[in-house]
Amino acid sequence: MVFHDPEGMERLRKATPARIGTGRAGTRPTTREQLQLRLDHAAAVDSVYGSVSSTLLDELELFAVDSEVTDKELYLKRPDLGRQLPESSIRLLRERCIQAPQVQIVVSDGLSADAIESNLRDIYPALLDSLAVQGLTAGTPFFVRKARVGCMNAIGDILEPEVIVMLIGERPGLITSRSMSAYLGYRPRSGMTDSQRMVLSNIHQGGTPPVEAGAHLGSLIARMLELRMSGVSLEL
Amino acid sequence: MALQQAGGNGIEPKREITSVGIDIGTSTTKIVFSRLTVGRRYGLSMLPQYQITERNIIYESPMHLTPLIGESQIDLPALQQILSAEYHSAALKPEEVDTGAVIITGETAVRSNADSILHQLAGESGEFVVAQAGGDLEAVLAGKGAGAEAHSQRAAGTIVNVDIGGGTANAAYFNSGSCIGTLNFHIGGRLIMLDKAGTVAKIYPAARQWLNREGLWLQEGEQADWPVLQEVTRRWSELLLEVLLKGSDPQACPLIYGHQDLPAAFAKETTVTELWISGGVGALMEQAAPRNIAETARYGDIGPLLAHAIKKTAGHYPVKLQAAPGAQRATVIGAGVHTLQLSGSTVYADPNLLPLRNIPVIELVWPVQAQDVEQPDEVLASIQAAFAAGAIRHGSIEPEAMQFAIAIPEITHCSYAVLRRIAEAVTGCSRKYKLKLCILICENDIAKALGNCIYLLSQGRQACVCLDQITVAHGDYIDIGIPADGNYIPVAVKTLVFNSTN
Repeated sequence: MVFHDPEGMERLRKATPARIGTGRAGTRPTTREQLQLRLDHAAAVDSVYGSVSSTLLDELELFAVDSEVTDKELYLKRPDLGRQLPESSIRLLRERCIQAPQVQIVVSDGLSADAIESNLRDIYPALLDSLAVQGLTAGTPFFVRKARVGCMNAIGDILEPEVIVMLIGERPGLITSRSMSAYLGYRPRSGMTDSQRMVLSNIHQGGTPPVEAGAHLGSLIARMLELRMSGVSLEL
Repeated sequence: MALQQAGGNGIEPKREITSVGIDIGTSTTKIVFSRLTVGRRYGLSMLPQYQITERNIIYESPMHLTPLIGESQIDLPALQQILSAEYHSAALKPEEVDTGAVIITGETAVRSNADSILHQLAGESGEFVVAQAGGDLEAVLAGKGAGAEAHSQRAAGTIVNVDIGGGTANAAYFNSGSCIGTLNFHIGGRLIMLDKAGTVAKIYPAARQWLNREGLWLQEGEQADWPVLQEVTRRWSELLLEVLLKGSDPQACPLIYGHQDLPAAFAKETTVTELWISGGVGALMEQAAPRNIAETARYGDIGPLLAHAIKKTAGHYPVKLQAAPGAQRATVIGAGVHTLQLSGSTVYADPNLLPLRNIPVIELVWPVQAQDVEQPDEVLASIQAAFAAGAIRHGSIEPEAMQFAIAIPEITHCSYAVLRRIAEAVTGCSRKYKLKLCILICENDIAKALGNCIYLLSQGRQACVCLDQITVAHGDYIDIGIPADGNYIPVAVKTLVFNSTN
């Protein structure tokens, strides 16, 4: 592409990850651009249907349980099932986890296994560091396959933590398929709503840096414990 | 999700900071007070980040002649009197001023007592007021104060702002909202002083040498020759603009001084589209051109003639020329309004350790250009080299008193493994050099994670201040203020070069 003001175009491009200044062939996108778009779309689909490797879970010593959902199609169609745990998972949690911890860390693939694969190694140890610096203690961390954010209520009912932090893959987009969010709740129990939770979003290498997100979570959790609340009523 | 929008839209309380700028120049001294507003930049689902959202000037002093004792000294008591009267007029007390800068510019910076006066005034002017000096910094502050930096963000091409005062001309190039280079010249309106009758009252050494070399005849105590004055200002204008606009080799220009931030070839490659003139000479461009010596000498120097010589010469170049808005006060506005930076909000600092003043910055250099710091040995070697450099340059007889900050440049992908390696190396070096306080400034947004890591590795024994999102360069000095609401830390980066015009 030849631009009237290439310097200015470059500046616009740097200001946004959106697809701008890509040119056209007649009234349609160029073949190159069309292929790039399909490639990015395929990557997004792959990360929804992908799964987190057991290598990663073993490395970070996380055991895995299932949500009420058995396959990805059902997961996409029935968000309510992603918020519930089957009897087998409940039993496993009761057996293996410390009851009523100060902080419960939960990881889930959610809508992007890719997000967990590419960020967990960085955010998780930084989160543990920040809890240690704040003098907070964490319970037994674990991984839930195909969970929704609301699953923290079901987990809260069983383990009764003071604070839960859930690291979960975000819905992938065409810019990145690797974005992760950290959802936080003070005393998560059945009936807790979105407005009572907090989120640190857009965690990936090109967004909120995973290590710094982990470090910030510790201070957020400390503040939640201090004021005994979370969500929109918590002033930061 | 619903939560991501919650609270993101302007429900944040606004915070205000009162800032002072004091510019002690070759011919004039001026003061401005401004109010800076701080706001949160993103919604609550992002890492907190604060920035200065508004800059309003609340008081501007008139121009005062810089008081001197004889030839070589600044008259401190007279200067203090001026300042105290201006604080009174602005209805502000020094203790109500949160931040700001005192800058000593042009020929005044070479006065024998410049250094001590600058630090004394900075101490007396407010809570967190810093001392600044140096041609490059002056150029940048003037360009920011004039608005050239902000304008370059919207305009195509490169904008050059030249602040021409009594003793020096300081040029800064701005492109896309940032300064890309500076150049300093011994060109100024007051380098040749005239009395009302047109007799040469004084010629500064910087101009004297050049006049002799050029064979131009001007003698103190003698009547100035009108054609000679015209010739002097014409040649100065040509020398200035040849370098600034045409990209002639700065090294070959006899009037340039200080180090050149700009590679010789640079000006050739960049397209300068606009030339802004600030400073006293910029303001004079707006007035009628002097027709004879008497009209030239109305301020006791050749300033008016120089202003119009530049205006005329610039007509030969394909650039848009303009006198910068608020020309004469560009530097003082820059000093008052643009000195303060806010650190990222996720930082690591024990408030009991702050504030810190006059901390020299040592820049760490990563081994590979791609900033691929996956090589453990090389990471360690780079960090050790930076600490060793700091110990050599800023070590004292008592190791306890040694203080410097290490600037950690960008890391393309800062994984936890890399972070941990850096923390281990830093902790080891701090112990080796018995640093009472370890100060780190990271380009990446990793300060809090890094600080946490160092705290745990040293079992809480290594005191540490770790900041990010502050722009520093090797050789700068920084002042670190007290965190406001635990949200952000004000930082002032200082460049002090006193002998720059020698």
